[in-house]
Amino acid sequence: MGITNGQKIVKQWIEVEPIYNLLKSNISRINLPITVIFIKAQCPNLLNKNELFTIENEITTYLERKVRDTDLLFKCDEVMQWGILLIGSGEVEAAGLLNRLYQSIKDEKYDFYLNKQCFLNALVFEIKNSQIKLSHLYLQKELQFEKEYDAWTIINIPIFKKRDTEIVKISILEDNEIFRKVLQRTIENIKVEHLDIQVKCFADGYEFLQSDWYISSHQHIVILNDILPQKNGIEVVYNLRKMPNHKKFTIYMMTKRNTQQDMIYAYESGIDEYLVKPFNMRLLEAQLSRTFERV
Amino acid sequence: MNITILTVLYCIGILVLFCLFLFGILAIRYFIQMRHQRVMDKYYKKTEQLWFNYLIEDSQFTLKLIPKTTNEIKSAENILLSYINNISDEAIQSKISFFAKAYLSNYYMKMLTHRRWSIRMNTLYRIVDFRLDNLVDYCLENQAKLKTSNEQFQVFKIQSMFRKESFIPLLTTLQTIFSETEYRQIFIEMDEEMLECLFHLFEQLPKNAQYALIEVFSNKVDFEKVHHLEGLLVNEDAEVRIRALKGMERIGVIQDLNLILPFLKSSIWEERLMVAKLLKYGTLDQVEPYLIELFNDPNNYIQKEIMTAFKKEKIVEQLNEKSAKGIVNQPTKQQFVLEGH
Repeated sequence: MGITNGQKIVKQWIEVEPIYNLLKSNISRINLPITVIFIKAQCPNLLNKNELFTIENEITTYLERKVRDTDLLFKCDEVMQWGILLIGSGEVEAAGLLNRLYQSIKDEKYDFYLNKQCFLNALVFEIKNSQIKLSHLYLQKELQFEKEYDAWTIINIPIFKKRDTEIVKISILEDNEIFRKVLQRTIENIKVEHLDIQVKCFADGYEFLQSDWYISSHQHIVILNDILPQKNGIEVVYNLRKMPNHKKFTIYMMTKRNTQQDMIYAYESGIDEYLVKPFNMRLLEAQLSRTFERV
Repeated sequence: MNITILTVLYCIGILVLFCLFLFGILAIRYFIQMRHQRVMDKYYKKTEQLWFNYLIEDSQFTLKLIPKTTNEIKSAENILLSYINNISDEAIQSKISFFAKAYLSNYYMKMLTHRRWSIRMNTLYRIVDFRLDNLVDYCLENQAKLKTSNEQFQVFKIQSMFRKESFIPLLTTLQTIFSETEYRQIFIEMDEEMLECLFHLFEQLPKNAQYALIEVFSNKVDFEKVHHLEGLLVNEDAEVRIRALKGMERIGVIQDLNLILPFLKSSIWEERLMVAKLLKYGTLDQVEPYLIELFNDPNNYIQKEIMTAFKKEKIVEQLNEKSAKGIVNQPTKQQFVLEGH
C-alpha cells in the first residue's frame, strides 16, 4: 500500500524489495550499477505531530514531482525519511539529482523550508555488487542517520561499490607456438581488479571448436589468426556468431592482410578488432583494457 | 631352370640388401634429426621465459640466452623470427639486432658461403630480418659465390636497405635486370626521399623498375604525387603512359584536364579507357563533351565504363536523347536500353 499523491502511488519500503532484488541480480549481467538514495528531513522548530505529518506529505508531493519516471521513489517506515532507487546511475548522477532537489527547494521557496526551517540530508549508496541485500542498506542507513550532519549535506557511502568478481575467458588461436606463448604471458600479466581472467591456448580452429571451453555464459574474448591449420579464423568466427549468445564474444583477428577490402570483409564476418601483423603488443594491451572496461 | 631361379634369388637378395641399406641410412638420419630437435627443444624450454622477460618485459640480458651449438643457434633463430614476424616494436627489433650481431654473425658468415643454396638463401633472409648490417660488406665481397638470381636479388635488396647512398647509382648501372615484382618489393620499403630521387632518374632506370616505381607511387594515394605522374604522360613508352594514367585514376584527382585530353584520340584503346575512368573525377560541365565523344568510341570497354561511371547522372538522359536523335551509334543505344538505363 502506498501513499496516494495525485496521480502516482509512492511505494512503501517493503514493496521495493522485489524490485531491488531483480535489479541487483542483473548488475553484473548488464554491467549497470544501481544507486539508492535515502533522504531524511529534519525540522528543528516543529512543535507537534500533526505539523510533522503535514510537512511529510508536502515533501512527499514535492519529491514525487521532481523524481524522474525512470527512478523509483519510496517511503521508508520512519517518519520524514524517503528513498529513491536510481537504475543505471552512479553516485555522481545521484549527487547531481540531490543538488538539483536542494536548489529547487530553496529557489521555489517552499513553505517547509522558508517558514518551518526544515532541511534535508541524504545518503548515497552506489551498489555494484549483487550480494548486497536491501536490509544491509537499511542497517547502514540507520547507523548513518544517527550521526549529526550539517544541513543540506550529501553523504556518499562507498562500502557497497566493490564489484563482484567476474570470470572472463580469453582464447588464443595461433599456430606459431612461440608467439602463442608470448600472447599468453602478455595477457596473463594484465590484472583487472574485479575480473578473473582465464586464458587458454589452441593451435588451430578445429581444436578450439571441438573443446567445450567456449560454451558458457561468461564473457569471452577470442584472439585468433586468420590462417590456421584445419579450420581457419573466419570459419571459427562464423561458427561463433551463429550461436544464440554470440554477443558475449569479442573477437580479435590477427592477420598479415592490410587492404581495406580485407578489413571490410573481416568486420562484415563478425570481427570486433583487426590487428595487422606485425603489431605492437602495447596496442593489444590497450585494446584489451578497453574491452575489459566494457565487460 | 635352376640357374634362372638362383639368379632371380640373388637379384632379390641384392635388392633387399639395398633396401635395408637405404632404410638404415634413413633411420640414422631420422635419429640424428630427432637428436638435433631435442637440443633445439631443450634450448627453447630453457630460454623461452628469459626471452620474453628480456624482449617484452625489458629485463636485463642474461648470458643463458647465448646459444652454444649450431642447433641452439637454429632454435634461437626460430624464437627471434617469431618475435620479428609477429611483433612490431623498434625496441625489440634493436635488441634482436644487437644480439644477432654479437652472437650469430660468425655463424651466418660461415653459412653465407655454404655449398647448399637453401642455406645461403636463408642466411641472406636473416641478414635482412635481423638487420645485420655488419655482414653487408662480407656479402658484397662474396657476391661471386652467390650466383643464382634469387641470391642476386636478395643481395640487391640488402644494399637498398643498408647501403642507401650507393644504391641509387647501382640501380641505374646494374647489369642484372630484375622483374617488376622484385623491384616493387624493394621500392615499397624505401623512404619518400629515396623514391623522389629515383623519380628524378626515371629515364635511366630499367623498364621494369620504371613500371614498379609508378605502381608504388600510385599506391600511396597521395595527391602530392600526382605531378610526378603527370610528368610521365609525354613518355615515349605507351606502357609508362598507361600506368601513369592508371596511377592518377587510383589517386582519384585531375589537376589539369588539358594533360589528359590528348589521350581522347589516342590510337591505343587502353589510354582512351583510362581517360574514361579519369573523367569521373571532373565536374559534369567540364567533362560532358568528352563523355559524349567516348560514348561513341568503337571499343565496348570504354562505352561500358562511361555508362557505369555516369549512370546516375543526368548525362544518361542526355545521352539517351542524343541517341534518339541518331547522334549516338545504334548498337550502343540498344545496349544502353537493354541494360535498363
